[in-house]
Amino acid sequence: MSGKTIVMTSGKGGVGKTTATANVGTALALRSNRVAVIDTDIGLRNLDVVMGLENRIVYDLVDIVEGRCRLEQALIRDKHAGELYLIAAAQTRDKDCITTQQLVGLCERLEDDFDYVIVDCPAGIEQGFRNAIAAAQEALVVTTPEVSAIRDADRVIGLLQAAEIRDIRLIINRIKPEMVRQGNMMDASDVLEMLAVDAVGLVPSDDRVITSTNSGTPVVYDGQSASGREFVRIAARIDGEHIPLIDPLDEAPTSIMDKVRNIMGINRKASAHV
Amino acid sequence: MFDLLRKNRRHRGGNPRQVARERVQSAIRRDRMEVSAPQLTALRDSMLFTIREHLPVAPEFTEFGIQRDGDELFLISRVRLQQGH
Repeated sequence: MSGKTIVMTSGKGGVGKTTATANVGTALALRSNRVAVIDTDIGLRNLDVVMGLENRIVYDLVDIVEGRCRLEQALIRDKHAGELYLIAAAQTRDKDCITTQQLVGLCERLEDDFDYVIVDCPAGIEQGFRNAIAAAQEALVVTTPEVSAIRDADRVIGLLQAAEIRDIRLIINRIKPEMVRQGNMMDASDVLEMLAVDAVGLVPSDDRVITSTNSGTPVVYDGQSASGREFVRIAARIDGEHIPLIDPLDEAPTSIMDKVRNIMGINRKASAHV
Repeated sequence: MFDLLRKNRRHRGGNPRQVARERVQSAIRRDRMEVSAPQLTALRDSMLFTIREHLPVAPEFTEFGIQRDGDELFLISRVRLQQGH
C-alpha cells in the first residue's frame, strides 16, 4: 500500500481545523480506507478529545520519534470506525521537540500501511507548521468567511505553494446562510474568488458540531447534521468521487414550513453548484 | 420596526458583506506584495501621474492591487478614463 499524506492547516486558530480533521478522517475510514490521523499540535492536543479517545492514550507522537515505543504501540484504534487510528500529540512538551525530518520519516512509514495519513497542523506558521507541511503531498486549508481567517488562509496558501505543495484545496467552514442572505457575511464565492484555490467543501455552521464534540463522537455519524453530511461529501471528493459542491444557502431552510419539514427529515432541497 | 432600524443602520455603515470583502482584499493585497500601504499608495499615485500625461483619467481608481492566478502574481489596475475628450 502506498498512501498519501494530507495536511490540514489554516493559519488562524479556532476555525475548526481539528474538528474537520476528525470528521474527514472518520468519513474516509467509513469509506473502507485505512486512515491514520496525527495530532501535531504538541502542548495543546485536542484531536483525541474531539474523537473521544482521550482516555486511551498511552504513548504519543514524541514517544515514537524519541524511541520510547514502537509505532504500533502509539496508534490508537478508533472506537467506531474500524480502520481509523490516532497518534496523539504530547501534552507536556513544546513544538520544537520534534524535527521536520522525524515527522517526514514517520509519515513515510505510515504511508506504507495506510491509504491516508492526515496531519492536523497547529495554528500559526512557526516550526510546528513547517514540520506538519513537510511530509504532505496535499493540503486542505480550513477557513471561515471572516476577514482574519481569510487573510491568514491566503498567507498559508502562499507558504504551501512556496513549499511546492501543488494540490491545495479549501474547506470553508461555519457558513451561516441566514447571515449571507441578509448581507452580513461573505459567501463561498467571495472567499473562493479572493483565495483563488478550489474548494473541496462548504460546511454550514451547525450547533450539532458542539454536541458531537461534547460526546466525543464525530458529527459525520449524525445523519441529521448538515455539517456532518458535508464532511461525508468532502471525504468522498478527496477519495476521488465527483460530487458537486453544495452551497449551504441552497440547502438551508428559508421558511418556517421548510424548517418544520427539515426537522421531520423531508423536503431536502435540490443541490446547487457553486 | 427592528428591520427598519437594522436596514437604516446597515445603510449608514455600508453593507457588512461588502465592507468585509473590501477589507480582506486590501489586507491580502498588501500581504501578497509584502509592501506597506504607503508604498502601495505611492505606486498607485506614480502610475496615475504617468497615465495622466497621455490620457484623461477620471478622478477615481476603480481597481488597483495584486491578484494571484495559480502560482503567479499579477499587478492589476483598472483606470476609468474621462469621456468626451
